[in-house]
Amino acid sequence: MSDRKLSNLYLLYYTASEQSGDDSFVFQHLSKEEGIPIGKLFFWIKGIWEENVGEVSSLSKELYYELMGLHSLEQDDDLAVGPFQNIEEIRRFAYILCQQLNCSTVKLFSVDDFNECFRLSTSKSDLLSKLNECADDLENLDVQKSKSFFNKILSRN
Amino acid sequence: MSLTTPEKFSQNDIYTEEGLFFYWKTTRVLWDEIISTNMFQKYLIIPVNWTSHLVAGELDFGKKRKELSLDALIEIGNNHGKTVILLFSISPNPIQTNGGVPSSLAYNYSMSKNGLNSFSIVGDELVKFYSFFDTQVYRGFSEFIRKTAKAIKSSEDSYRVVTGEFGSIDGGEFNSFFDDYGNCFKKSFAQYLTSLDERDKKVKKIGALKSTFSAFVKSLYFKEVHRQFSSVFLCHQMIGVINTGERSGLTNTFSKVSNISLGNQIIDSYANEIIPLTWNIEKNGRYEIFSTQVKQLINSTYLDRCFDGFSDTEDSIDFLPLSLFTFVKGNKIDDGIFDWRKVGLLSFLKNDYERCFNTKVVNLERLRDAALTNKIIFVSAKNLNQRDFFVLKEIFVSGAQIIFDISGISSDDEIFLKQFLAEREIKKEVVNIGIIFSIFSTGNSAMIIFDSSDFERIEENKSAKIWSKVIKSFSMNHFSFKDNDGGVISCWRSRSTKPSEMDFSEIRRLSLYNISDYKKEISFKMIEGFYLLKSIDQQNVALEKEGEMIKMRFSPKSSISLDFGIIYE
Repeated sequence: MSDRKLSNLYLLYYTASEQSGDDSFVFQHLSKEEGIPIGKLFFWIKGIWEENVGEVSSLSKELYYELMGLHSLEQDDDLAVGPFQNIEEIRRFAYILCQQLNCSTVKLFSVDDFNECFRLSTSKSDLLSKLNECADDLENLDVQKSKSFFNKILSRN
Repeated sequence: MSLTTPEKFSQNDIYTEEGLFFYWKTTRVLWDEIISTNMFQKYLIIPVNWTSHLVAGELDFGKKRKELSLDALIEIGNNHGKTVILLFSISPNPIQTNGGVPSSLAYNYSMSKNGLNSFSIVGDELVKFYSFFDTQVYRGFSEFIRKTAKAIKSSEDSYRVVTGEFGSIDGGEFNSFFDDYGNCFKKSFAQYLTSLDERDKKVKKIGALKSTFSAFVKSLYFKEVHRQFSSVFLCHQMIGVINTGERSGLTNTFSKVSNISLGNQIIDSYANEIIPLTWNIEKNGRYEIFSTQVKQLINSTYLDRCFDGFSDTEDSIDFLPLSLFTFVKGNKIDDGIFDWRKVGLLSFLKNDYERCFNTKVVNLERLRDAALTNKIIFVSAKNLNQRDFFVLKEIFVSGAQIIFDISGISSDDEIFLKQFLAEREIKKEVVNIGIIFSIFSTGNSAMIIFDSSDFERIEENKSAKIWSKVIKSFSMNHFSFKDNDGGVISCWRSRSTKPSEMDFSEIRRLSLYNISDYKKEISFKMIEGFYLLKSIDQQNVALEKEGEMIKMRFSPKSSISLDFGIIYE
């Protein structure tokens, strides 16, 4: 019996203030440019993709509501999920989603990580392999456990 | 002399179903043969490729390399009876290397709002987009256009010129690849902001100014082309490249964009009068249903409309996208549909009147001779100058149904508006449904006036209910079709009646495509004023009509169109 290869989950996040900067007046914007902050920065998930399956936006919004007790705030990008206070919150969120989808690993990277890999890449496959190298990997331990359980059964046979 | 045997082109890769011809991807000896195979295509649209015309750092139009002769291509197109269009891209695009910017100028990446580098995935190719806000790119483009105009010797009646703005279709809307939030944009925008006077700095918001500034820079590129080709210039046209852009690019990096998303992108392009380019969809078994969509929708009448404009095809007897709502601008400022989005109108229309409107903003002047029955027009006072107010009055009197936002109206314009609405035959009512709306009507004409700033105190989820009440107060005959699972997607089209159909006010066609790999059963009830005339283009769909109920059984990847005669109330 061959093991079905479990897919990876990819998560891309970025930082932004809760209030969109586009709503500020010119003088506020110029002050910000001079280094005076106008709002606290939060983390947002730009998108989550399951390898060979596609984007998992609606499920991730449901999970956000379950975990945070409130709906994900509307951003310019309809599919963005957030806000999160810090990266640890995103990691926790990503890990639970990975378990729910029964994926083997969730790979997190920021927009800055993505841009860095992007600049060094010449093709899609090149970009993907660089992203795989630089991502913050969280392995789904449930999958590891169930694997070892099946391995034990198989080894008895 | 070429030592390699030219490769035969694969289906639609060089001359796409939508009429675009990628001349740089093949050799000149094959041009004639390829063009002759697509005999039903009226147009030969040539996207002029800046980067491919650079040979050893010099611009070449056929002197050094024969496959760069645009004159030869125009001649072949004319010989085959095609309408030849030279398309100059004034935005980054995924069909050319570096998004169309020569390597020598490709330094500053274009970026999305969240700071992600802009790109598209084409097969395994990573097409990186560079900023069109880079002054070096602008200077280079200007030189390229000047030299192209000089090099073309074909007579003026043998071709036309169009400026093309490429973009992706996300969530039903066009996202231009011209838009940029990277360092180049930030620098030039900061200069623009500091040049504003102190009063403007206190009253103007960044979002609206970004759109204004971006539109201004885009107009510089547009003017370069228009200036050099004024005698043959036709229009500016948007091209929605299916399966490209940031969202599709990210999805294609990690997995694959779904068929349903691709099918929706094509129909959303169509509804918005954008030319969809399906060239980046893999030509495998799943392509067949997309090809059916393109063949049925992107016909020569549709392309005529895209290129020739609004009024010329208004009374067409061929089907064109149904447009129940029109966003209008004047000649004062153009901030697109920014304010209508803020008051929740756009999301309401997307939900309740999916693909029955166009997010392109039309100039008020163009409505003067247009048929305005069964159509609602959205106008903002702050976009209008004094002359526009006279045009608005004329349109109102001629029977239009207008929703008018008076936020930001000047005192002079307010006096003018009050005066013309004070005429004796105009009835006035005021309703308060969370927002105060003043309704003015006479005969078939109606104008509903409100102040969009009032929406700031309304909870976001309540705006849809308000808009539903407002739209229902107009006499409008339509029903929306929605498959909640998303497998069957729909598209409404409309045409004028023929002499044999004089019982009806209009003919509408509902095309349904089952994009999914599953069988589907769909049924809906017709509303008053809608009469099923016939079904056409029935491909693996069983249709039953019982009284007012229509039932359809779809096989996977199947489609059908239903024609309805409409009688207005």
